[in-house]
Amino acid sequence: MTASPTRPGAEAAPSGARKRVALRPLARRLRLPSQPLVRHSILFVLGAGLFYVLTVNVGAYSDYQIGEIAVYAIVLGGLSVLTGLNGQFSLGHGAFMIIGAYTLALLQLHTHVGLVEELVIAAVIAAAAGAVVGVPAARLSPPYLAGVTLMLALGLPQLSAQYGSVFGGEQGLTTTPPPAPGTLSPERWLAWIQLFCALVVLVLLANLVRSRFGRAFRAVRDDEVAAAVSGIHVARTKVLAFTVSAGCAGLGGALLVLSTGVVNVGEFPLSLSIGLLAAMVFGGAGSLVGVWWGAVALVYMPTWSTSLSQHLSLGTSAAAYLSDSFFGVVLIIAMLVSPAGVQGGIRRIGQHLWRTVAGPAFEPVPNDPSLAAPDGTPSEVAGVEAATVRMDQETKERSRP
Amino acid sequence: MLHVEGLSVRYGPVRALDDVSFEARPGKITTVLGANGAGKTTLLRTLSGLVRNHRGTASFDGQRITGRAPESIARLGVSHVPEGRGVIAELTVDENLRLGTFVRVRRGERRAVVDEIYERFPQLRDKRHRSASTLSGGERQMLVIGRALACRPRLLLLDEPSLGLSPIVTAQLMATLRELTTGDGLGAVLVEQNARSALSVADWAIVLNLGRVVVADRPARFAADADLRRHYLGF
Repeated sequence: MTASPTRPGAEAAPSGARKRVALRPLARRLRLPSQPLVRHSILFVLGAGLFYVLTVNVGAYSDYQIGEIAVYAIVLGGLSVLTGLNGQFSLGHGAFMIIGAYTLALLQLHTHVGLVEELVIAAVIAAAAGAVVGVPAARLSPPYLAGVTLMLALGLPQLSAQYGSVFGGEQGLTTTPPPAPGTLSPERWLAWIQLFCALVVLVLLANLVRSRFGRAFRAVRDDEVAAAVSGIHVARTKVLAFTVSAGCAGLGGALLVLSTGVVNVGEFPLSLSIGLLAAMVFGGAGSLVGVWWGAVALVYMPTWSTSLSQHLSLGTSAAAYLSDSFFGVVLIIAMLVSPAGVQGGIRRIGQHLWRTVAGPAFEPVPNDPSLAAPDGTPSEVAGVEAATVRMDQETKERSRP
Repeated sequence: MLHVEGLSVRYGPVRALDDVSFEARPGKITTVLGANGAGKTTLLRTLSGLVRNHRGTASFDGQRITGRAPESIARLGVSHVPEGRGVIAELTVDENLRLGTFVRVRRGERRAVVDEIYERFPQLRDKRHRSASTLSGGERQMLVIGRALACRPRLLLLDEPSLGLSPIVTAQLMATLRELTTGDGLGAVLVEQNARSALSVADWAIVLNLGRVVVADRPARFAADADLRRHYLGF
């Protein structure tokens, strides 16, 4: 990013300056308010409107895919908070999805509770599992934590084979999607449920990020010693992040198997866990808007790679390898072009445009904190706050007599 | 206030601290001097709970703090200012300060406490919405001390606050420290390489050598005794 203490040329062209002055009030009015709850509510409504328009204009299969994107957005949101904000790694989030999925299937099989209860219980059980894993995880440094969570992703599926009478073995269990009201297609209804859940979860996560817990997450990620001597319980904070993250994955898993109609461990291979991590980085680690890009990539990348391999007329085995490597190649390119992920890139372009249209909103900030953390890791939060800062200062400037 | 009795710390076979005893009093600055590797940082890290001691005890206002977790010691009112300007680089200046208020300040008073710190360090107020990574060395040191003060501490543990600062900024820092510790209020344990400036503000000085307390006396004694200075402090 090219923020410099003085912005040469910013005041140079008089005509440009006039244009900016004319556009500035309008541009400022378009900004989101800084108060987190209001801000997130507005984003919620905007998102809901957008998805409504999107879903009613596409066919059943696209509705199914949009629902799937929403599900992955939930899982990636949790992962983004864990890795992007708290600095912990998990190669085993597929395992928490499995826990949520089986919980839902077992509840449907043995009880008659409603959908909301099923989803809540699935999320809670996965969160509890996350807390159990999180306690030892809080004591491990990232490489070892990656190992432990990897073992979880590898080991947990074996349970379903071991206790086939409970978990249905290889075949797994079946699930019934909720009946659609009226003439609505079941796919669309389910997609709406999944989208609603995704928006609610992301708003909750966004509020969490802006709360004192979010600050504690980042403090622990940045400097554990400084956090501890400031009175933050480091281990508890890490376990909390893991719990929240696993709960999101559990809810995602439960919602996903409502679409597929069946739960078996084949639905959640190890590659899914790794794909989740890659998609999260692709979208922009720590960014709750970026999760949508990651989710889109997760859902559409296999389709795209298949059509690419057909286009190149490759054999079936080559096509399968291509599918696996395709995501890797896309990720590498994305990281070369924009290390802060897709969302980081968009923000960068947006800031550039903003500056050309609206001009510096107040005294130029050298080394704008919205850019990224000093180690080059992307930070949605820093971006949000930089925007907030600008708005705060504007408000003050305007209220001054 | 702080009472340290026979404190010993081992890193494997290495004795980092060996039978260290001293006291820190309210409103007084106790400086801990010594060469590299004398155990100064280890002493502070043990007092704030980051390092486990092997023998001996440290107590704060009659409560044993050895063996407690760092956050629980912080809750008692012992604020550690770690070496190397431990700001949370990714958080803004304001967030860093608010972080300090979590444990000992009531919800309604947090804003006021942070504002007090801005009164003391106006430079921080000007940059409060900047990420801490953009601050200069001196500003970072202010911020870390500010964050420690935001806990409304009763004892500050400062680990080489002058490290890498210019002589003028160091002098300002020492003057600030002196202002903060008066009457029967805030006490401080000041670990320093820069013995001269530490002695200029301290009320009591101890010198560590290879983990042992070799001198414990008033700063005036160091001014008077050239041999002592040459032997342990190198000037």
